[in-house]
Amino acid sequence: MKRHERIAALFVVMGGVAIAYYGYAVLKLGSIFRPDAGFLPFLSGIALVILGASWFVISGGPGGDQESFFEKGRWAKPGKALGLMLVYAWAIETVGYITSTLVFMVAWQMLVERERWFKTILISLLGTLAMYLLFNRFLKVPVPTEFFMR
Amino acid sequence: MELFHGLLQGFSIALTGTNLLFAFLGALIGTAIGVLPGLGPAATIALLLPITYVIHSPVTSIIMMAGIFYGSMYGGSTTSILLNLPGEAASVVTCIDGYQMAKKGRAGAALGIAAIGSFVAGTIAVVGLTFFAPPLAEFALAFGPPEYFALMALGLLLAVTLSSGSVVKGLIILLVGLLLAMVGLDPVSGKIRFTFGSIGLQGGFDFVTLAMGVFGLGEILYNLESTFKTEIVTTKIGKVFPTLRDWARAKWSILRGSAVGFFIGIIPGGGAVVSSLASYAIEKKFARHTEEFGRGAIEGVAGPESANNAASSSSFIPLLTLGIPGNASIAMIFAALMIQGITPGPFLIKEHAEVFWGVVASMYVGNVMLLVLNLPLVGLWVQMLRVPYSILAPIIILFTTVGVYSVQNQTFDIYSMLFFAVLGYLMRKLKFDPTPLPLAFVLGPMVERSLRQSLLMSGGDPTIFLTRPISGTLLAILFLLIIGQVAFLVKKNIRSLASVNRPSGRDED
Repeated sequence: MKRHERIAALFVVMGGVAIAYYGYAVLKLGSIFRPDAGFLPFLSGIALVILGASWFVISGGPGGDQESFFEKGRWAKPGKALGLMLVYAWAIETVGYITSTLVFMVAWQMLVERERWFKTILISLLGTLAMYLLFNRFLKVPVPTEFFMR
Repeated sequence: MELFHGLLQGFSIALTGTNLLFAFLGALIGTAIGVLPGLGPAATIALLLPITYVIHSPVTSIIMMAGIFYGSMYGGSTTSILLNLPGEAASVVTCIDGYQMAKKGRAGAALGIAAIGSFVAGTIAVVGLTFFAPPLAEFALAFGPPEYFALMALGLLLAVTLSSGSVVKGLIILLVGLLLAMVGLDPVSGKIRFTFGSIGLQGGFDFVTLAMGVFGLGEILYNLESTFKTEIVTTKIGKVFPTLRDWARAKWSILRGSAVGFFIGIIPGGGAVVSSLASYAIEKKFARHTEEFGRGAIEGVAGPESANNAASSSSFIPLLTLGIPGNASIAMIFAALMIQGITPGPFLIKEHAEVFWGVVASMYVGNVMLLVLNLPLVGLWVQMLRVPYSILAPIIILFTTVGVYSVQNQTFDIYSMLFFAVLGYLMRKLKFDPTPLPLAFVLGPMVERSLRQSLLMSGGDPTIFLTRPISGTLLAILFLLIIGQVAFLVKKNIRSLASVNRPSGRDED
């Protein structure tokens, strides 16, 4: 039995119920002669409920991959990476493209990869320079200007 | 005659300096990502989609994308043979005998036969594409909304049944893709759906953000979990040209692989992975020396490597003639065509002959380029594995972020991409094959439109799908497929239940 799969299957069932209700009550089904905007979402929601329930039953069976979904430490790197990407998405317009890229590279090497200072600085500077040359100079992509140049 | 005229026109386009350069770039990038484990062709094409906004010529951008796709099939074999590590999914089966050959000091012969087989199969498939596509497009002109609905429904279901992993999970992902495509303005009634008050969502999700998130960043997040380090190759590669004996053993495998790959590639949902697995099974059946399989049989390398190349070229047939992408990489090329304002389908050959013939001709040229790139330069590609993931991963993230931002200059797209990255990561964690997602997302609006148009046409009579010969036949195939799948699943479950309940032989005694 795979517990994490059963939990995910329950989420699918709940999502299916919500989508079917939204299609039925908010978007409206229309008729078979003139299907409305909720027709296909409603059918998809019902199908998700059936499939989610099937998944729940199947994942309750014996055997399969017993590896833990929440295995200690496995989430650390992807979690940090995602956090950094969120901050970068916010900073790119607020701080500017080059500054945020440099900070992102430094933070990545230090927090995600745990590189030494010298290697961190070298990789970050070269990476930022490569990005600047590619997007600003070569492709001329209109990226946000730096906060100190506005 | 019209065909040769078209092909000549295609060569005159493909052989211009710019198009040659981009075909070479595509082949080069394709081989590189094929060699690098953890980055597949779908992810790379997704990452490069924003570049199509900069390249103003549709032919040039599709030539490059196509080059990446079939180039990755060449490159994928290198790490499979030398490191027992598949560079991309279609080369998994090459590991079995390719690596064993390398261990016996015959890495060169394995790499050589893989490259030659890929070249022969790629060329045969492009010849097939040249001759098959125009009449198929002509035939598809007779298609109306019911035929398109039936064809797309069949294609989507085939994509689920042929993708790796559980059918139930495949169907869930298919529905998720369809629902994601419904976000925004309803094309028929004009109602706003699933936006929950967000202005950014009113235009719906952009395919570029979905593709980059699920295939690009999702894959990176997942790879960060495992701390795989590629070992520096110490295997002696040796002579890359196969001996006469190798050639005698492999030539029929190459031809069989080409045929298998070509036909599986045409089927929506088929593609390179399924064809290489099918080819390996066939080779095992046909081979004279079956005992050598798993211990370094050259047929086990020649067949699958030929099949995955043939499939990658022939999968362009449903895209360019019917407008239906058969696998994830082709869905990315579908998006690239749409970005350029070209709708793939039966009218493409007539209305954009230069795109169709230019891309087809570039495939002949690209295959020659790949042979030259792969045979003598194999040692150089292996050295690429020295680039650490700690450098590669942040560079790809920066590339995707700026790429997505540049499409509409809004950070909302970056946040959407991150949402899809989490979705892609969770899908991999839960052992979902993401292939049906982009297909459903691309085909979703078309499926809905053709379903509703068909019902409007018939005044609400659903038998319209059954009474028209083409849609009726397609739905009959769909029905048989569902029955077959259900019967298979029931049989499998009964068997597994029986094996659980059955007492062991000792007890019986």
